[in-house]
Amino acid sequence: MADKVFHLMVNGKSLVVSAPPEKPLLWALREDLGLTGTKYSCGEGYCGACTVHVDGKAMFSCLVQIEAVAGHEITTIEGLSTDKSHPLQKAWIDSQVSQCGYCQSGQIMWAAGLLAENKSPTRQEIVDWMNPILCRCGSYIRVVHAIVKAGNTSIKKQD
Amino acid sequence: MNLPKISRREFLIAAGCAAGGGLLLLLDVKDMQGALKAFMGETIEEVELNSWVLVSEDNSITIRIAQMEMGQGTITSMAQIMAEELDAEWSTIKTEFISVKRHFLENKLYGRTETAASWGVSSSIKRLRYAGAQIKAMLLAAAAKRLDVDLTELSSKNSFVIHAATGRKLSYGDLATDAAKQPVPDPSGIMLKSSHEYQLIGKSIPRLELPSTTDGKAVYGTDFNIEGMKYAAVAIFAKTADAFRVKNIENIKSRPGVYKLIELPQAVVVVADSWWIADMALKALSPELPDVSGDFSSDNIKSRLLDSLDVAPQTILRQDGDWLIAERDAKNVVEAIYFTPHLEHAAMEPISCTALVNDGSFELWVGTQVPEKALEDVARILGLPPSSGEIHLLRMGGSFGRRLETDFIVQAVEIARQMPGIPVKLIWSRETTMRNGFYRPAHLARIRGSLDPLGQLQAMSMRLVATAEGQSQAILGAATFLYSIPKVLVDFVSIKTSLRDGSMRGVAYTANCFFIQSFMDECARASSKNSYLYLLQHLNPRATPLTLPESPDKNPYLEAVPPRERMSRLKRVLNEVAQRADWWAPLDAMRGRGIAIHEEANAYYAVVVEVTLDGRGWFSVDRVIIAADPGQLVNPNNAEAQLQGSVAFGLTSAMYGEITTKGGIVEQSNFHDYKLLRCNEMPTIDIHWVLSEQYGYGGVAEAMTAAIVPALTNALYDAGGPRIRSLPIKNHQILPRQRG
Repeated sequence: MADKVFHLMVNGKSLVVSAPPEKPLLWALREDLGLTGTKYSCGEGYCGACTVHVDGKAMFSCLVQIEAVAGHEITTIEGLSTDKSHPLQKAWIDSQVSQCGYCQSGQIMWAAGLLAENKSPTRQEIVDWMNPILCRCGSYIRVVHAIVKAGNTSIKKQD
Repeated sequence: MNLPKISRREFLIAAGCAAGGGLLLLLDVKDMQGALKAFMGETIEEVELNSWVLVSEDNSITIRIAQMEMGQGTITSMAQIMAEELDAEWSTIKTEFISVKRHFLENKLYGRTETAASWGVSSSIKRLRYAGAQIKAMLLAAAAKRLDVDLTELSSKNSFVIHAATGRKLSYGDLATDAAKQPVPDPSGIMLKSSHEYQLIGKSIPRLELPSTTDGKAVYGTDFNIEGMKYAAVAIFAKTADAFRVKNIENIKSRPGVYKLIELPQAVVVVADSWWIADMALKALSPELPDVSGDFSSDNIKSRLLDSLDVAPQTILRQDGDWLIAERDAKNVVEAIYFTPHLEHAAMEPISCTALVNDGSFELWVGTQVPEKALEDVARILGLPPSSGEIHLLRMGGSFGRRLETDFIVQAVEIARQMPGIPVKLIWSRETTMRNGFYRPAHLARIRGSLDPLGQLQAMSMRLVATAEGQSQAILGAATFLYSIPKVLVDFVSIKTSLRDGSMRGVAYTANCFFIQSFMDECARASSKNSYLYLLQHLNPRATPLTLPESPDKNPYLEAVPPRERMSRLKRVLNEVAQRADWWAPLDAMRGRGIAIHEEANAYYAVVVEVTLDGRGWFSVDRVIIAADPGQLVNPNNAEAQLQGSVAFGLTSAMYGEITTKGGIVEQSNFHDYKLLRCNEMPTIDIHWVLSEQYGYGGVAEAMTAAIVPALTNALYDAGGPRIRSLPIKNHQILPRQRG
């Protein structure tokens, strides 16, 4: 359990974290790097609140160890855009999706994973894709609506 | 890296500035422009007006918010109300939570801070409107003096005072210093706007607090960071245990990153430089849990509830007429027993609180629904006056009533007091959060109805049993139904269990509405009547003799509506929903619709649910149609979101929610065994508002959690499925009933 030094590429920046190799990326982001946009909710992969992108692929950061992602490109909600200009962020605000907002980093990052693969998903494709991400406030209708909206806009791949 | 987060208040204190009324020179370290101005030796002036509002020299306005934010859009609703009377330019509005310390020091000047019961708008609107109007009056008075004109020549709009005759405009920012010196006008002499003048109230204004949830910038209780902070994780053991022993405790202290091990009564706390390290260390403990008898198993709770059906009542909740004689003489009696289990709030943000204890003072950073209680409870355990502490209020990642309790806040302080001068952030893991709840109680009800030859209920009796005795937790909605039933008896027994009981969104309505609305449906079926018409025939204001109960919701901020008028409002939404749901249109086989009506928080709801059975034991919820009469709304789009969310919350309770215990321990621990509704289970929702200016602002955030449940179970029956009397539905096979 001894600390090791890891070089991480996070949101385009090269950062150094000293932590045990098995520390989940979720906690390295939140504690070592002060990036609290990625949320802890269940810690066991049931809810998706901790979703980040690793090399452009959406995954649950509570299930990924820091050792496994050293040297890979990590994008968190803070890095999706510099100014809330990502089509999903715009659609989220336009459709007034969030209620308490705690799950929404995960919702947006997971949705971004879909739009990166499928620019104009159907409503059913969106619903099926989004199923792993929980929302206790029940914002699902607006989550889907916002992704439908964002999906009609062309996506430039964001770093 | 983030800058160290210093509160505005701390900075003021450090800079030696006094609070209240006068000019405050303020530097906001979080604002880049401000930092540059400060570097240049310039300052941004902000003037406080009437303790509610800060007006900056750049004409932006900060409104202080006294009701808490947990997703219901409180921040924006409160700001809309204040900004309306203030004639403030909405695009420059900022918000901050009140100072709880100041609230205590100045005789609770911010009014109601507890946030619950869907009373947020109704409890705040009058105070905020008058405060906004007072501030505007002070700005106008200052302008009149400055321009040397009569007040009648001035108007206000978009944070400017305008002198129409000369076209001169003065910004609020410019006037603020002078305005602060004006006497605060007596509210009784103030004319508020009339509703046709509204620019903000009643409009679907986009929420101010929403954009920061799309870029990771929103700071929840669990996110708060301050320099020097340690993290605490806790393992809590059975409340029923008199004592417990924990193995391996010495090993914990020597693990890397562990700062301290603290043993509290019934809890072990690990404090470390990282929460993950603290949590990992706890997992290495092997608690030796004492053998707790089967008294606290769910099966045992259920049989104790059943046993209580025939004991003498503890309380008579309602007694109209000779129900016993009516029942004895009845030709057609319908009887049913219903059950609802314990439920946990399951907010996405787990329980957390950051505490700092010094000699003679304390500070908390936390999301709480009860700022005053939190401050008082902490002050009490520290043996200090409440004014010696401050709570920096943070938004909550959901709460639904769990953060009405201060157990975790007190626990954080018990930890922090053992490390004075060091801030400690306590986070409960999901498992700890789920297993140490204040649960929605379990309820059992036996209802008997005596029907006359036309199927009309002539008498109804209900024995209600609950694992709680509080009005909110157990009783609301049990005895206040508005049906024209001449003879009614409702009585109540409570039993104790090992599970703490609490208020969960919808409170006791979530059980009692299920019982009563299911029973009405069963009586309709027993009389071969259509469910919608059956409800209508029991909402008859002209039926006599008739005693109708007062509203269950004793909201002191709203004018009481007479019972017959309440019944009319219920009828109106019932008819509206039937029409909007196309009630009479035939449905294909395996499809069904159910209906329910509900009164809660001075608002009236009717809902129709459409389902399809899949023939293999389960079903889909296809469509929900709601007719809602909350009187008036501050923000319709936000209210719509609350209804949508309530439907999801209620469907989860109906379909999946169940907290069970074995040996005194809650069996559920995470979302794999405490299932929540997912995206692909969400129905479409059509909402139809039936608004009326003659009534005040009723509540919207809770009611549908209760009403959706019987509407769903009634729909399942209508589709040919079983009659569900015991929740959750997942414990049943939803297969078509045998016919013939």
